[in-house]
Amino acid sequence: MTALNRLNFEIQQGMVFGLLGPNGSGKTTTLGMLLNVIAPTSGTFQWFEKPPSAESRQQIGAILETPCFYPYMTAVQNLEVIVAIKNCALTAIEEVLHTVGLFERRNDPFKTYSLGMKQRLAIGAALLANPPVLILDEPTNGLDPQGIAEIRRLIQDIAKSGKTIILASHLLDEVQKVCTDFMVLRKGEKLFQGNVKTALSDQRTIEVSSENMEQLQRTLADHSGITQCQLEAGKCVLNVLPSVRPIDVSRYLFDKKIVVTHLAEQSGSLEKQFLKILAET
Amino acid sequence: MKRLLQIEWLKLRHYRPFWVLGGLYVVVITVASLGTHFFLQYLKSQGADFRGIDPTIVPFYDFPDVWQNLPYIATYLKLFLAFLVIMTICNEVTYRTLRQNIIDGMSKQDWIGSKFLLLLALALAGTILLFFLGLFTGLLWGHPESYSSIFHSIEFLFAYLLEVTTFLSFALFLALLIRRPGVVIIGLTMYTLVLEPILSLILIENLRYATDSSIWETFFGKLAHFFPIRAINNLIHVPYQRYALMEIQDYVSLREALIVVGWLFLSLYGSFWLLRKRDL
Repeated sequence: MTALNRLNFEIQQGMVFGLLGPNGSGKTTTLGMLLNVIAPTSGTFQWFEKPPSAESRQQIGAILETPCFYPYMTAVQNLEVIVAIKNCALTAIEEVLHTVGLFERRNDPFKTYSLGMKQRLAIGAALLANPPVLILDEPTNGLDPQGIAEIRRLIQDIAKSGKTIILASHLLDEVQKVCTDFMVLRKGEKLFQGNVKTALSDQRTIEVSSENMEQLQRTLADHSGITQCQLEAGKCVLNVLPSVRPIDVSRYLFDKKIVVTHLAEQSGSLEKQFLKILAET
Repeated sequence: MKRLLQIEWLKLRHYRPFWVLGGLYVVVITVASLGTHFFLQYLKSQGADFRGIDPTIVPFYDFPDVWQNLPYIATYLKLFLAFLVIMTICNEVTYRTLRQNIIDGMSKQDWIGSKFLLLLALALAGTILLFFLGLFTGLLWGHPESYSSIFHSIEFLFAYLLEVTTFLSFALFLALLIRRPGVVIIGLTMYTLVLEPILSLILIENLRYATDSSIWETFFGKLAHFFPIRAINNLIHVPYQRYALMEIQDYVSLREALIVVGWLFLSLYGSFWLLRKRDL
């Protein structure tokens, strides 16, 4: 079985990079290889423009799938082990426990934690050495809505601090909300790689309606900035060039003496883009 | 090296079985070492005698005999330490902390290295304990005229260190290979106490008493000396027949030690090979 096939990509410093794909598409395998716990049959990679080593991994904070800790030890004791592995400062422990909101529970054994707390401890552990790169594999998996929101806020805060983040997820709106760039995998092959904002603006639409829809549609079809005009549920849905804003549409129709009863801009979703990518390939 | 030992200490410090099994090992070795004295006294009180000789004058604690006698008592007690090693290694696999350790920035060499240092530390602790027990019991119950050869035959302590280190490395390899603590613990115990001793005894004795042994009988008879448990446990030969005036091997044979060193390297390299080959 081939889990990954000729995958090739590069991530720039400061990106929040989303790795998207259905379950079993090779996201965890990719990250596992980058972290030396899964052996590729062929191929190479580099970290920080150097061949990978244990030292480069000390500069990376990573969680792969589930949080892995010694269940009989407390949060502090578990983090002490990681401090020794990463050769970082013991004082960082208290700091990250505050960051992920586990300070109050720091002396309870890991096995008594809820799933959300375990996940937060894993993110805290990843932050210990203040690494320039974070790898998070399905960080909101199995969490309740409140937990998901908490983790997302945490990731967004971390992203603001300028760290490079690689986020694997099968949740499209998660990647849309958090990431700057993304790559789509299917069956171990790269389908698409690009910028989230660009992908979303491709999907931007403007909705218009007026009392005489037929006239409206004919008029709009003459506008050079409108690439497509479809009638959907009593509204004209416009695909427009990036330069066209709702106010331009309004002005244009005003000049043509058409009164608009509804005008709205719909930003695209990664979901639409994703489905489009899957359909195209 | 200090970092690797520190990592292991941080993991073990809060692990209750470490204190239970380690404590058991210390207590049982101490009781067995001291107990022989009282056992011989008990025999005397029951009127037992060894061909007319009073059991309490058996020079069990005389130097240098004590350096071979005590490590021999401890032969099978190393199983306690092996259980501990197996449990911690299997835990690292099932908790996936082995994988996380690598992700966090240990190399695979580091990881095997840290485990080896742990085994070595355990074996060293056992050896030091035996040293003090030997010194203490020898000075207390040995005949004063034996004091002149107090550190004679101290090589048996080094043999014990090698014996335990190799056995624990063997346990490390099995734990990484099989990954199920129950299976490994029961399997290793059965193999160490029953299977291999019986098998090697049959093969070796068969060769010794056969008048015209076939080439296979000769081959397996000689091969039996290379079996892991036979090799490891035979590093220190049974010393007790000497008190029945039989001849024993009262030294550590270099050839036998080399076989054990061979098993040590094989176990460690095998463990490393498993780690490198497998997806974690």
